[in-house]
Amino acid sequence: MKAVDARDITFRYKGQTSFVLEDVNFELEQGQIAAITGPSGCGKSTLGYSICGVIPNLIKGDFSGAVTLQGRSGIVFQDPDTQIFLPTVEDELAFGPENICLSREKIGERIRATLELTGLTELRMKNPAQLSGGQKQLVALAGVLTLSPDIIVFDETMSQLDLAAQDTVKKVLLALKHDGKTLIMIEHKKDFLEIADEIWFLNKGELVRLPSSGLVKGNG
Amino acid sequence: MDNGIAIAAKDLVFGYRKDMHIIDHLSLSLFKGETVALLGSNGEGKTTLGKLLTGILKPFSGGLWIFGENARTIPLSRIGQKVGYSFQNPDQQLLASTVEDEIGFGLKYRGANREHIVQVTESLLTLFEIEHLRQVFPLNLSWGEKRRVVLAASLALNPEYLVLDEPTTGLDEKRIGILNQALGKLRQKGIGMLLISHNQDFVQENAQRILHMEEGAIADDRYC
Amino acid sequence: MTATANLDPRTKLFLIACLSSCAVIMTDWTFLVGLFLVSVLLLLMFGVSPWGIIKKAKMLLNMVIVIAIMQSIFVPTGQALITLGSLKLVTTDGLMMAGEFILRMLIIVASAGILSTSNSREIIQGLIQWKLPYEIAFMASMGIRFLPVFAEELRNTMIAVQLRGVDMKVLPWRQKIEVLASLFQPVVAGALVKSKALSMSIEMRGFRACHTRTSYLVLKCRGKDYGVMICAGLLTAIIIVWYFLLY
Repeated sequence: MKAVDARDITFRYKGQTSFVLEDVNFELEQGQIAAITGPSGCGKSTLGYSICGVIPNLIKGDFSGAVTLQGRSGIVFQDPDTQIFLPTVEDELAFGPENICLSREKIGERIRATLELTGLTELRMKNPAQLSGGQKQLVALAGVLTLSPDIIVFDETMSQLDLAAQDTVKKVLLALKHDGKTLIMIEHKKDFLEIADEIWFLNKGELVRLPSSGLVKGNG
Repeated sequence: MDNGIAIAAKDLVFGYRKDMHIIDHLSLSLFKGETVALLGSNGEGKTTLGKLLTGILKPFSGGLWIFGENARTIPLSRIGQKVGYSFQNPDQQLLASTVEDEIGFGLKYRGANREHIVQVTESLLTLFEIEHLRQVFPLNLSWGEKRRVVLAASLALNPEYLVLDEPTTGLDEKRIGILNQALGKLRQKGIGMLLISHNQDFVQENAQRILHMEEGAIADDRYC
Repeated sequence: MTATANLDPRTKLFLIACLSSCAVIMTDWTFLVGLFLVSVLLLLMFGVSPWGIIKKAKMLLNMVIVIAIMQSIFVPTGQALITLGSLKLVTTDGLMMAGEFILRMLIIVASAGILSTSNSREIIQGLIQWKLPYEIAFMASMGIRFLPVFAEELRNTMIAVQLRGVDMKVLPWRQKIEVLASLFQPVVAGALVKSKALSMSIEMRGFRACHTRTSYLVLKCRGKDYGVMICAGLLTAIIIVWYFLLY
């Protein structure tokens, strides 16, 4: 069953003359990791936003096409400073589940599990604004994971992480895949493509799936 | 006496709180014309060190000399004429309404003539392949494009030394390649650089010397 | 952190309300000085250095002194201390009023110091448990969280200007204004871009998805919280009654 089915996605930002995406099609089976890569400014993030619903619900423009998702979506953005806004790491992780009215016990369980998964247990009561760039990004990721989305878009999440943190995130992604989550990584660094089951290349508004013989398989 | 040292730090101590030192009695010499990479895990203080070495942050104690001048006694604008700095987050350095004005900003307010500003701006727009963005509002650019604009703007002043904090963040391979070429040309001109980076390929391509930071001090210092 | 600093944030809010109410009602110097000393004592009990608070609030306190002096100039009653011809510039009554104003502001600054011993999440949660609508509390917490960030961004922008070799101090006035005006747009636009990105993140994490929400953090007052609130309430009532009886 396709977890993500995006058909004829066409989008132009409000006030712009040219379309960033034109009749782009994308699909992904449940439990798979896809990487969407391409040159800077080609529209990868725009596609990611279209898949998870940021476009057209939160960002206005000329949007057409259809996106069908099997389950809830979440997105981890590129800049952690615009995703963390609460005084402690624990508060950040609790925010999402509080919004969807989970019980305190369930919230506590999710916080514990997510802290363990992301290696942030020792930073639980720290102020995320005072953490390093990479640690902040892990907190931002953890804040989305506590909502337990089925489909997660990672918008160049790795770019500010050091090697150790990149490895932690890769392990987190593989663990999520093992749990049946569907992941879409928007990246242009080769290092992160190795865990992807599929690699898609976006350039000049055209999205093409690369042949699987070109993939370097990781532990997934 | 010119001993070839661009930036010299002696016994620097710094923290964001008095009781917690991020930089702990750190001494370091960065030489003119040398490209140095600064590596270390998240939270070790690389960005903090980069800011200390360019006078952006003032240490609790210790000495800092930039091209022979005591950095604690000269204004940051004077340091900025000799040492260019590129922040980890390019948004913090975008000052103008268009990319063109961004690149020419420093030259304009230092009294450079119009022809010189145009010449320098054009060459940097070409170097970083951002001619098509010249009239765009910099904050509307993608992360990678902003990075290129900030680097171009830093180079407009023809600094003798550059400190680049994670310069490859947001850049794809092609643009990293362009950056590598640009940095190579700067090396040929004798401009020294401190590259704070996680990107091993980028470090290997550019660095002549590698520093490892651990617990607020330089744990390893070796030439490639 | 002292044991007193571990009090429930609502207890601290109550203490501050008591202090502020007295500061507003009282105009007598003896009472105001007494109140100020009580607030300093409370700061010490909460483990906050009064000197540290003064350093942090230096800019605000400088403004307070300027306002107090300006206020005193417009009070014509009392013995004239400084005159300009027949115009009384500074009078004894004016100085007394200025002094009262400064004392009141110092008490308010001390109150902020007491509140700083709880983090913003706890304070907001305290207000929510006191039935303040979540959206209002959330907006307040965003203000607390991001005002320092915007202040930092302004500082970073000025650093960025200097790093481009521009020394604002030596620029002619016209160019100074030009630079500040040219910075205005990116700084404000930067703030707007950041707010937009933040709001996207907040909405994608389910903000206002339901008409209500759970709270993981639940504050519970302990015996000593009730004890402190009752004592503070009683003392405040006694002092106010005593004040009105005397005056």
